[in-house]
Amino acid sequence: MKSHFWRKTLAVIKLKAKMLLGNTAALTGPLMSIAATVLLKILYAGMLEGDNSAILTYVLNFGISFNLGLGAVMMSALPLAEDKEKHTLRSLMTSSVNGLQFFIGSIFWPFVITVGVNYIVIFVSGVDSSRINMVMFSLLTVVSSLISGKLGLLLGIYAKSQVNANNLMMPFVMVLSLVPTLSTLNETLGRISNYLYTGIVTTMLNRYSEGLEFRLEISQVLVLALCVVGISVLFVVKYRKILVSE
Amino acid sequence: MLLELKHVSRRFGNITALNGISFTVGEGEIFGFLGPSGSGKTTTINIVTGQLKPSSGVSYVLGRDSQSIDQQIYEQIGIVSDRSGVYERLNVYDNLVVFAEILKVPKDRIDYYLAKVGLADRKKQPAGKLSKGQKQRLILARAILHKPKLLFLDEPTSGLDPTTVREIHELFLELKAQGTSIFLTTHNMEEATKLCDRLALLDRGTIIEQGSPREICLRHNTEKRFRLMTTAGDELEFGSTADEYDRLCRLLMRHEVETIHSCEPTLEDVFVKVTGNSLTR
Repeated sequence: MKSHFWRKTLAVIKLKAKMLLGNTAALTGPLMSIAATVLLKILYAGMLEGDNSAILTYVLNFGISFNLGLGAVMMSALPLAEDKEKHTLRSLMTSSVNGLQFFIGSIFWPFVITVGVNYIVIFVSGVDSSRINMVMFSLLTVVSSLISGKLGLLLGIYAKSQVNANNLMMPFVMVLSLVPTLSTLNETLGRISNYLYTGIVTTMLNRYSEGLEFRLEISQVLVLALCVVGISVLFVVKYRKILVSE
Repeated sequence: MLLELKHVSRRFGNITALNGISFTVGEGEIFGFLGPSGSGKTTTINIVTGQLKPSSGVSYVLGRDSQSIDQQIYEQIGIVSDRSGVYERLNVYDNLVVFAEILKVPKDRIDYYLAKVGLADRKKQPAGKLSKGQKQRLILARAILHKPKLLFLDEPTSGLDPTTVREIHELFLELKAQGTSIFLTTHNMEEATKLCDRLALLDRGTIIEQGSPREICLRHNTEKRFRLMTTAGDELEFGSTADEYDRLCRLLMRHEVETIHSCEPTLEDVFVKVTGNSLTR
């Protein structure tokens, strides 16, 4: 039974790799995150004198928020929306791939790429990585990448087409990317940011930039747990509903 | 029984798409569902494959209630319908590799079935560049790749050229000989007559006739007409009145009959007679 499960999951992972490589729209997100970070660093180059950690952290924060809020969501949402649009999702469903196998297979590459881009963004932002607790950074960005990938899948499975997926994504992208990035400029945005998983990442980076420690609070753990579990449940329920029309 | 429906109905708002239909499909049998567009053929396939809930009634696929079909059942059935899609950016071969891996099918079988559906020379072509008929054949190859016990075919030869249709029909008969049962929906009377062991005529969600094509036609052969060609080349048609029998016997006794055929109604005739509508409406 176990080998069946992983054989099918692996088949979906291989399929998704081939499909993602041909989907330039979906790959734009993570590439843009790296490009935007480099661009922002160049734009702020004139201000990088003395203790520049706050500016570099802002650049890093921008790159990571962009990657989590846009890149990861796009990479999972668009291919899935395409699957629905072209009826290939139904073909997979009726060829014995269950919701969990499809979920793991679909999220694998967006997750791996998002996690990878998060580390690349540290490098290209020019932040002094010795200020960052890499264990906590890894833990939080890995969990956040997983949530973003799941959120993308959820939006993709609700979308009727790729165009519709883009429209559905926009409000989420705006909130997840921009609210944490601008949280230091506005108190209300700061409060909202505390309840966003991308906002928790921002809080962590800001603490490290100030040379402080960062520990996850109970409320932050709850936010992350709620996102991880809630989105998974919604996805599996919707997957089953797509197969069986009422 | 591999497939069994008991009093299945399906309503969409005020419209009744299926009205208490019941039938069974046995092992190694080709069962046809013959009816015009909109008669409920696709709705039936969607219900029995667990993709649509019936409003009432039950259906069983391989002994399992259709509404609780799981992976084990899906591994033993194949589906070709207008809800099946292909990965357009992948080539023809890779489209099948995906499903071969999912269903644990040896990859050498891919080439075999590509040849069977006439796509062997297109295996490296992106599926998105195939014509509608070629995509249909690719979907068919995918559905039979794992030698399913039960194959659901929703208008499988619709839009295909006659040569391909003939080859696909041969393939269906080959699958049947290997033990695959086929549930085939079609509005093509010739296809149904040629392939089906038994069939049901469906009109507006109601089964109006059921049996083997021959049984159904003979059941409605009330007029018992004959068509003959005389040695002089005249084509004559006779009914079953005493006078007409006398005329026919006289011609036979005088050896003036070149050919003679009984004129049983076709499935189309039966359909028109019972419903007042054509199969191709």
